[in-house]
Formats: sequence, C-alpha cells, structure tokens
Amino acid sequence: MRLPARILAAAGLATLLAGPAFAVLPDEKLADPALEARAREISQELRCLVCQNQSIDDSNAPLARDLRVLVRERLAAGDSNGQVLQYLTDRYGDFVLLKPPVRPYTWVLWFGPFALLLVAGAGTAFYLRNRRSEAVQAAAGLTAEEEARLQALLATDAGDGAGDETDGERRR
Amino acid sequence: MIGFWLAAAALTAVAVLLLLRPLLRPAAEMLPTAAFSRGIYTDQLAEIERDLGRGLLTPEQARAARAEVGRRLLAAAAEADKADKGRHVTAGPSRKLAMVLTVLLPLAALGLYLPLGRPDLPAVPFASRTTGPQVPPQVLQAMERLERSLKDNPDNLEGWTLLGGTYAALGRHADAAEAYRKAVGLSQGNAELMSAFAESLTNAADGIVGPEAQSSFEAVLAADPGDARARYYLGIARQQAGDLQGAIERWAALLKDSPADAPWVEPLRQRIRAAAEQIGVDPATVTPSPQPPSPPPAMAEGGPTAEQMQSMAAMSPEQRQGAIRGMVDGLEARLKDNPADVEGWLRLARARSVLGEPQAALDALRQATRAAPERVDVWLALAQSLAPAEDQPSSPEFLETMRTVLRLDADNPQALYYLGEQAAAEGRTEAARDLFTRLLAQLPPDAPIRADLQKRLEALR
Amino acid sequence: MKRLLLLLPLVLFLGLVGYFAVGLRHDPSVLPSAMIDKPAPDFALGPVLDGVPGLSSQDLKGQVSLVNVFASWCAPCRVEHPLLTRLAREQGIAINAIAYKDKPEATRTFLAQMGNPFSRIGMDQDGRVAIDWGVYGVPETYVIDRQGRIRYRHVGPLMPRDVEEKILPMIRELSK
Repeated sequence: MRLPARILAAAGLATLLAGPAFAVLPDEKLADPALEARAREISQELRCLVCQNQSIDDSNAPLARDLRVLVRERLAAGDSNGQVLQYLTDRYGDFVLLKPPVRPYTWVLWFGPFALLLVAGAGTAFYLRNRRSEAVQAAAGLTAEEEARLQALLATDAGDGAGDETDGERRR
Repeated sequence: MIGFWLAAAALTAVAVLLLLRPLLRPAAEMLPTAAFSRGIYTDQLAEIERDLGRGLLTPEQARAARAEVGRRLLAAAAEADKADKGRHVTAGPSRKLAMVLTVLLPLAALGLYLPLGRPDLPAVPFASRTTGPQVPPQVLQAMERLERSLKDNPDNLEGWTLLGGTYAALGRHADAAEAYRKAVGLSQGNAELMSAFAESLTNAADGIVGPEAQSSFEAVLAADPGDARARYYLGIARQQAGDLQGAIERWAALLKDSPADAPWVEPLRQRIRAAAEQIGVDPATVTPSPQPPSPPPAMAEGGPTAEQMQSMAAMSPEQRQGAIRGMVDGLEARLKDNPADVEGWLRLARARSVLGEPQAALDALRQATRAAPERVDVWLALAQSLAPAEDQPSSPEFLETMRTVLRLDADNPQALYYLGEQAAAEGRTEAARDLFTRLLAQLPPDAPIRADLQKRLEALR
Repeated sequence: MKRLLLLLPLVLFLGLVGYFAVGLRHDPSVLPSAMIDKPAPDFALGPVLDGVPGLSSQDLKGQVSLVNVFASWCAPCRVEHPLLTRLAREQGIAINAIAYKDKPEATRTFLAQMGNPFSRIGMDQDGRVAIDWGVYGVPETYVIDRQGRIRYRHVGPLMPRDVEEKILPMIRELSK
C-alpha cells in the first residue's frame, strides 16, 4: 500500500512542477489588461473542439487560436462575458463549454449525485425508524402467542441447538 | 516456449482452483446466516436471563430486551427453515457451474492470448514509418545524368520514358507523371505510356483517380479496349465516386476477360467482394469466373502491370526472382514457336539483362535482328549491348552491326562515330575523314563533342 | 423482497456497465450541431476561381443544395472529391463550397487537379465564416433546404454509404 501512495505523490509533484502550458501567443493578447484577463477567463471555459479535452486557452490547435482571437474581438467590441459564451454556443452548441450548463439532458449529471444521496438517506432513515419501532414494541414485552413459539423453539434447540452453537463457535 | 506454456497452464490451474474451492465445498459446511444468527440469539436470550439473575438488568429492561431478541430469533428460525428447504436445491447448480468454469476459463484465456498476446504478432504501430526505398547511389547518379541530358535534348522519348519509370520506382509519383506526360506527348499518344502516366498521376494523388487520370485511362481504353490496368483503375474511379455498382460491373467485366492465373485476379476478387459487401450484395452473384489460364499470360500484355508488381512485392526475394524467371522462361518458350515476334525478343532481351544474364540478352537481340533485319532500332539495341567498354577494341560483331546500321540509316551518328574511329585506328584516313565529316553534319551546332571531332579531323589531315 | 434488494447493487453495476459501454462506443468526433434547422449564418465570401462566383447566404435560398467546407491541405477532402464530383455531374445536385483557411492559389491548383464540382465557391481565408457555421475541421458537408436552412451536417469525408443512406434521401425529401 505504501508504494502506490509514493507514486501518487511523485506524480502530483511532477504536475506541480510542470505547471500550466501556455498556448496563448503574445500577438493574440489585448492591450487592455482587464479585457485580457476576461479573455483568459472565458478561454479557459471554452473547449477546443479539435482536441476536445483541452480548453482553447491551453490548446495549440489552429481552430483554438481562431477562437481565442474571436473571443478577444468580441470583448473589444464591448460584449459581456455571457454574450461571448452565448455567441459561441449558438455556433458550436453546449459542447463548446467545458462546464456543462443545466439543461434537461444534463440533469442526471447535475442532480444525479444528490438523488443518490437522497435515496441513501431515505434508506438509512427507514432502517433507523424500524429499529426504533422494534424498541418501542419490545418495551411492551412479548405477546402470549410469541412467547409460546419462542418456548417451543428453545425447547427444540435444547435438543439439537448444541450443534448450532459449536458451528457458531467454529465460524468465529 | 514450452516453459511459458507450462507456467501459463499452472497459473490458469491456480485460478480455476481458487474459483472451484467455494463452489465444490460440501453444502453442509456452508452454514446459512440464518442458522448462525439463530445460535447467537439463543445465546443472547440466555445472557439476558443471567444478567437479570445477577441484578444487572431491571425486570423492565430484561422484558424489553427479551422481546427484541426473541422476535429476532423467531424471524431467524423462520429464515433458517426456508434456507433448509433450499439448501439441497442450490447444491446442484454450483457443481455444474464449476464444470462450466473449468472448461471455459482456460478456453477464454487461450482465446484472448492467441489473437492479442502472442509475441510473434506483428507490431501495431500508430503509423507505419514511411521511409523511402533504399536507392543505390549509382542509380541516383544515372538519374541525374539522364535529367541533365534531357534538359539539353528534351525530345528524347526513350529518355523521358526511362526517367518516368525510374521516378515511379523511387516513389516520386508526381515527377514520374510529369516525365511520362512529356513521353506521351513525344510518342503522340502511345497507349502504354498514357496508361503509365495516368497510373503515376493516381499514385501522386494518394490513389485518387482524378479527372485527368480518368480521361487518360479512358483514352487508353479507346486505343486498346482490353488494357487491364486502365479497366482496373476506371473501376476504382467509380468506387471513389461512390458508384459501387458501377465499380463492381467494371471489375467483374475485367475479371471475366482475365486468364485465371493473371496476378491481378485475386486482388480484383477481393475488391469485388469488399464492394459487394458494402452495398449488401452477395459477392458470389457478382463475381464471374475468369478465363482458363493461358501460358504465359503475364508477359503477354507488355510488361508486368501494377497489380503484378504489387503481388510480387509481397513475395520474398527468392520467390520474386523465381516468379520473374518463370515469366521470362515462358516468354522465351513462346518466342521459339513464333520467332517473328520482334517486340517479344526485345522484351526478352530487356528481361534477361535485368536478370543479369547478358549472354542470354545478346542471344535474344540477335534473334530480334533476324526477325526484323530492316529495323534500325533493333540493330542499335544489339549494338548497344555489344558496345565496347572504354579503351577496349571493338568486337568484329559490333562493327558488323554498326555497318548494318549505317547501311539502313546512312546518317546514324553512333554508327558514323564508331566506324570512323575504327577506320582511324586501322589507318584508313580517307574513310575516317569521310565518316567524321558526315557525323559533324549531323550534330547540332552546340553539341559538346563537336570540338573534339574537329580536332580529330585536323589530326587526320 | 429482501432477496431482490440484495440483487440491487448488481443491477446498479450492470446498469453502469451498460451506460459506459454506450458512452465508450460513442464517437467523440461526432458532435451535435447547434445549427441544425436554423438558417445558415449571414455571410458573403468572394470568389476564388475564374468563372465561378463567390458564395453568400442569399445564394443558398431557392434550391436544395449542399455546402462543402474544404481545403487543399486536407487529405480527406481529396478522398471525398470524386464522390462530390459524381453528385454534381451525375445526380445534378447543386454543391456550393467554402474554401477554408487556404491560399487562393493552392485552392485553384487543387481544383485544377481534382476538377471543380462546385457551382459557387467562397474563399474563407481567415476561417471566420466557418466559425459562424460551427465548423471545427474540414471536410464538413451541410444539406441546405430551399429556405436556406441547415438541415443536416456531416463531419469528415463523405463516404458512399453516407451519401446513399443519408444525403441523397434527405435531398430527395427536401426537394419534394
């Protein structure tokens, strides 16, 4: 168990040391640092459609570059962040967003974990309620009929129950 | 290897045993949970009694505890009864399951190993490296010389044909196409050259039969409706255009006309099968039977085709050599029956010299001159094979050949040159001067050899 | 009932396996288009080939057509070219083209070699119009209806099967 932990730590260290790869080229940058910061922020939320698991901010693909330039142009033209994202989702669909929006077809993704939590909670509550009602009933003691069956059972166990008991011992 | 199989078998056996142990354990030994908990509850009831006796529990508490445990015991007893009834039923399937596992597990392991894991499987690289063919430096030098001479003398049909063939062999298909284009122009539409041109165009376009290649192949077919290469590629053009039905029809027609032992028959069949499956047709219904094999079919069409080359490329060097030799011998046998076939003899001579049999090549060329004593090019071909190495005296046969050439073509520069040189060497000054003067008249004004010749003429005075 | 509950984890597990199996088979390069059933974006691109006009959104109205986005540097475009040529010449389908991020000379050479099946070709040198179309890699082919709306999008080279099973039936349906 120790070895994997060490490997994991080493891998983590390596990624830290590697740092992010900067794909944004100097000639793309906007003069206004505030706008450039917004552009970087938006770029990190946009998927590079060619490489798919990188943001356009990280990708060297030509299309990613075109999109980065486009984002900066829209910002320079006075678009809000939301308008820029909308501009691109109009053309490429929600898939262009790295963070999936809440839509009916992403409900499972967004609410699935909560639904699971809810089900598990309900199950636990149900189990605990059962336990409590057992305790409440227990306080009232056994009914005459149950007492009779229990006695009958114990009487038979006295006959062959010893075997069961040794079995139990062995299992433990 | 045996060691590996033993180890693999041992590991598989261990895996099977691990799986079988729980399955084959006697059913009685497997204590159902219900019976187990029943024992515990009985113990707990006894304990409650004891604790009550010792005064650790109030009667109130003892009653509640006894009720809770007692109910659980009753439930467990009911469960155990049910399990008792089921126990004998479950014992059966587990034995069956064990048997199935014993058989299936090793089979599955083998089934995965043989197609995926064997070390002698070919590697599956992401992209096979494209290294060009290894070219001997002499070939490159010869090619450069040829390129230079064609720059000076662009009307040399043979030169362009040779250059095209060399480029094609080196995989420089675009260059090959351009060389062949010149050759086609010079030959005024020779079908064989046009076919080679179109094939190079196709190869240059990564196998796409573009519009120019297509119209060239169509022109080839117009000249020679039986040309297998053109028919094959025009089928490919239909396939690339998405007309699989049309492609199949063309290929099927070609297959029907081909001798069964033609080397393109098998690739053709595969193409038809793939296309038929793609459009959901039973390949058997669209694949005709080829013609009966005709000896020797390969050389009958004028040199090996691309298909032939392809199937040969798949052979080992020895096999290839054998296949080529077989074809060449077949050609020779056929020529013995039909000695008037000049082209056949010439082809045989080329093949023999490629195979490194210069004597056999010479014999074939002599046969060719016998078949066509009036053709200058045939005599010249013979002369070329007989030509003396530098600083060596010319053989009598060579000189005789040259004389024949000169008789047929009084202006032939080679004949004039060699015969002139021979005359000079023998001291026949008059004859030498006459021959060299005639040669000078033939040469273009900027020929590099002119100055040299002038000098020699002066010396002969 | 209790027995069935015991099977629940197994059922959940199998459900997940099925879900992942479907997910892994799903080709990630086939992305849904945001443009389906929407009008083609407004654009106007200049010509690149003598005698072949450029392409604008107005040209897409009035007839069912294909729009092919191609580039001379794209190998799959070469592969699908004979197929497009046949569709234009033999099936009489109007095919327009957007030449994507290419030098005009290179485009002209490509069309000279491969033939020109396109009625109109717009030169999109900076790829901006292609972004408006939602293009993320050439070749892509769109089916446009009479109203100039995008009805179908094919990513990658057209194959005979795509044409027989999707494109041609779609065009037939739209041409009714």
